[in-house]
Amino acid sequence: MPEAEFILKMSNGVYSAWKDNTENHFLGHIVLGEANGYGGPLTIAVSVNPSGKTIGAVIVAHKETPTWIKLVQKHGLLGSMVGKMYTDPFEIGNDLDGVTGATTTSKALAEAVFLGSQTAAQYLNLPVKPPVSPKIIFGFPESTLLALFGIGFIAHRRSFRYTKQIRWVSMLTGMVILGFIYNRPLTLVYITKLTLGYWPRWQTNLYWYFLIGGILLILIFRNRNAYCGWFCPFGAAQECMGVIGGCGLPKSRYHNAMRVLQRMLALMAILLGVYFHSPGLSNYELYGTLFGLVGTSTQFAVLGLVLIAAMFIRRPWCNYLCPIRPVLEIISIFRGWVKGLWQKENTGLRNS
Amino acid sequence: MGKRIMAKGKHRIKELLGELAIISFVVVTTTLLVAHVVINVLKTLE
Repeated sequence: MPEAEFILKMSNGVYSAWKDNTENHFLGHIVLGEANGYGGPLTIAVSVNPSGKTIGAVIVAHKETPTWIKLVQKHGLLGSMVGKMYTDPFEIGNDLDGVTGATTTSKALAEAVFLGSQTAAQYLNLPVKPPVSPKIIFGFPESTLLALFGIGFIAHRRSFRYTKQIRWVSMLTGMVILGFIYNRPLTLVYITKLTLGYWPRWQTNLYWYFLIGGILLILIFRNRNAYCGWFCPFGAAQECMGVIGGCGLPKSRYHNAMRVLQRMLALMAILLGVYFHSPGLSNYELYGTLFGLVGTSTQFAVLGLVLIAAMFIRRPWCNYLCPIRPVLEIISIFRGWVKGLWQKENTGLRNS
Repeated sequence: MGKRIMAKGKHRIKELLGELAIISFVVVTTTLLVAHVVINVLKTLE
């Protein structure tokens, strides 16, 4: 509201804007709307005029990966919400166009502006419908994910004879559907986000809960990594490159030393994300760069190197750079430690 | 005898080049990724 010369703070992040300090010419309310984005909470200042029309929206605070925010700003998503009434749905794919490659951020922005306009409408004494609980989203990616877990479970049985073939089916399905079509691989951002307590709404994020929950359950109960070697889209892309190039280079003698570097890189990303309360800040993964073609020039350069290297080295990203593997390894080590303690306790009890 | 030594030498050179390729890949990509994170952090702190 550039024409406002007098802004009065009301309550709960609501401000009323006036033309001048005589409070004769009311321009509308400015409200802070908040939603859960890709990296955590995202706050938008929404200006709403007395008739309930959104007349401006600006990002006030966010914890997103800078690239996503830049992309959304470049596409003018917030600008497309200006002029909408508080009664409009503000839904990506309905009355708003999302930004490819930054879907979660786009949805969060739309939700934040919607919530802001609803709050403003309440303060303007306009008729506001009571909030409805969000619809449970269970679609094709969720069912594909469950099917992939199921395939992995069957293929891991000792009596199963076609493990190798089924693994390729699982990898290719993961790469095409979870990677290229939906761009939803597991990223460190989600793990840091969960540790920081930024839990997304389960109704609209069932996919992530299935993915993280499924991986953790299988890791804890069966000590198996159900994701990396089976349907990680990025891993599958590297294996495809490996088929092209032959993957002829033997394992390095310094493999273990380089794995330490990988763990340090992952630790640095987690610590920075936790320290700045911004999981998206330290994100260095290349999944969005490959599957959504979104990233910085550095990420594109590394992606090129990884794909070329994958022709000669087996899964170079997974073996030397991916932050997910060290996290799963730590969980597995912790599992072993707890199991050891539990067995010790049980043996002690039996002996006494 | 000479041929065997030559073959062994070739194999050793190949091995060394492979090793060098893997190490350079890891060092270069890790440096680039660290730089990427540092730039992101600095941009946010600005």
